[in-house]
Amino acid sequence: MTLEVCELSVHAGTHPLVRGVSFGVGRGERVGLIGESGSGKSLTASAVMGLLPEGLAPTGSAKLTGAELIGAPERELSRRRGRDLAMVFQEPMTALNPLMRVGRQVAESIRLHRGGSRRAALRAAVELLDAVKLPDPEQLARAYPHQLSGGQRQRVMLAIALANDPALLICDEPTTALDVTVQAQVLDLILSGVAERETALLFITHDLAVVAKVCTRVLVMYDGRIVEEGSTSDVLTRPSHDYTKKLLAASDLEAA
Amino acid sequence: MIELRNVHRRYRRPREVHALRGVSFAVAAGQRFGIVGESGSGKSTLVRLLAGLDRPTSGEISFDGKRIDALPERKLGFLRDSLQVVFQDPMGSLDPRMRVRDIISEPLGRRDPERVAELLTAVGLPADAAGRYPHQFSGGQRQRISIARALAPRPRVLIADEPVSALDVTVRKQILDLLAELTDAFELTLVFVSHDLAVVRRVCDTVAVMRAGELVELGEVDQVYDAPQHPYTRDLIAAAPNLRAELARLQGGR
Repeated sequence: MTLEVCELSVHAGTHPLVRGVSFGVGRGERVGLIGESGSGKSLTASAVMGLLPEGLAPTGSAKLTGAELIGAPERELSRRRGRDLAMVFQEPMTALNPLMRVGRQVAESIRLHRGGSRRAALRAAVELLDAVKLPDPEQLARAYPHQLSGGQRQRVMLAIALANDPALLICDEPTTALDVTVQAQVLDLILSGVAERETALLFITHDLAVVAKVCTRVLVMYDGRIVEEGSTSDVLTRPSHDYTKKLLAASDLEAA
Repeated sequence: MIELRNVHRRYRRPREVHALRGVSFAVAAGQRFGIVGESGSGKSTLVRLLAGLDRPTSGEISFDGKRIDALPERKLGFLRDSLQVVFQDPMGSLDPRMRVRDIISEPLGRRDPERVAELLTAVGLPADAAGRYPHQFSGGQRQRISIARALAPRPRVLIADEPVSALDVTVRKQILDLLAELTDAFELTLVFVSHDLAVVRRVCDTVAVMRAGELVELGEVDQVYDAPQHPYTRDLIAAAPNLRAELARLQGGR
């Protein structure tokens, strides 16, 4: 298993928000984490990344390629973030530096983890921008984030996330803020990006149609717990937990 | 009920944008008229114009046979009573310091406990909600409060602007069905704006597809969805994630 999460909990004081979740994501596997707001799906991902908000404490274990992440010193975590594990969020504008040209942002994340010359990193950055199908990547590398559309910014985020061929990519509602025609393109890029690198994918979404398209296995979260898990086709076509059934019924707008 | 003729809207600031490029359509009384488009399609501009919150650069807009595109604000009073808007984010449009009873009776300009009780029942909230504040409710309940407020002055037209986009999946369907029920019960004309095709299909009988300030297709919902004529409508339908199609694919793949 690339990622192995065991009895992971997150507490705000004594109040549990994530209650002992356990799951694994194998090399090249695509696992969906679904649930509604407040279910604990984003907190689970933040705990794995070591990016929980102030005041929230994780317990339990999350091992990435065998090495423990929970309780690891921040120095080690920041060394691993962007190299072994990468993340794409819903709102790319908050994750990009507004004052730095996008090409340089991609190049910095390459150089930070791999070293090498500035020029080589910038060349690699332009190749990555090309790989996420941004038009005229050399020109675009010189743009600032605000000069790009939402879909273009999310492609830049994906280029940064994939820059160092991470073992694990976590996507948290990566296309929720995008137009549907752009969403379809970005989902295809995520799929091809992880397939080329055999990256393990943990994909968080509230949209069952999207999870059905992207993931081979699904975890359903409700009230801080994983209430159901299995292959995407089993969970979505033969749900066993009441909450999963309710979620499916509510998602199908064509039904009465 | 509502008629637009060759409506243009150009913005000069912060940059030159031709937001609407000659849009014409008519909404008949009792219709459930959906407007679908992606960002930049002009759908938000359209909502502002229909609600009399903005004026077209050229073209005509009439409400119930009366031109509203050139009327001064003081003469738009009749429109404020006859046409109400429900917005996407209920938390942003409900004053957090006001009790629900005051929020709902605000468009009436006076206290009317009976009317408030009637409206709370209509939107499926308990009577004791009247004494509470917006933050004490969930997102779906807050959207019910804004619907109750919109219905208070007995409007004839309800404009719903992305009313379920900020809501969880399990609540979304309830609010959509509530809007459909209320449209029937109060004999309203509904203008429903959304980026989400599936949502529009559930509520509306007619749909207008907008792209880059133009209306590219208009027709009965089933006809537009099952046999789209314009290439953009086809792209939009093909790109939208469809749960039934995905499930069929998953089942077929075994």
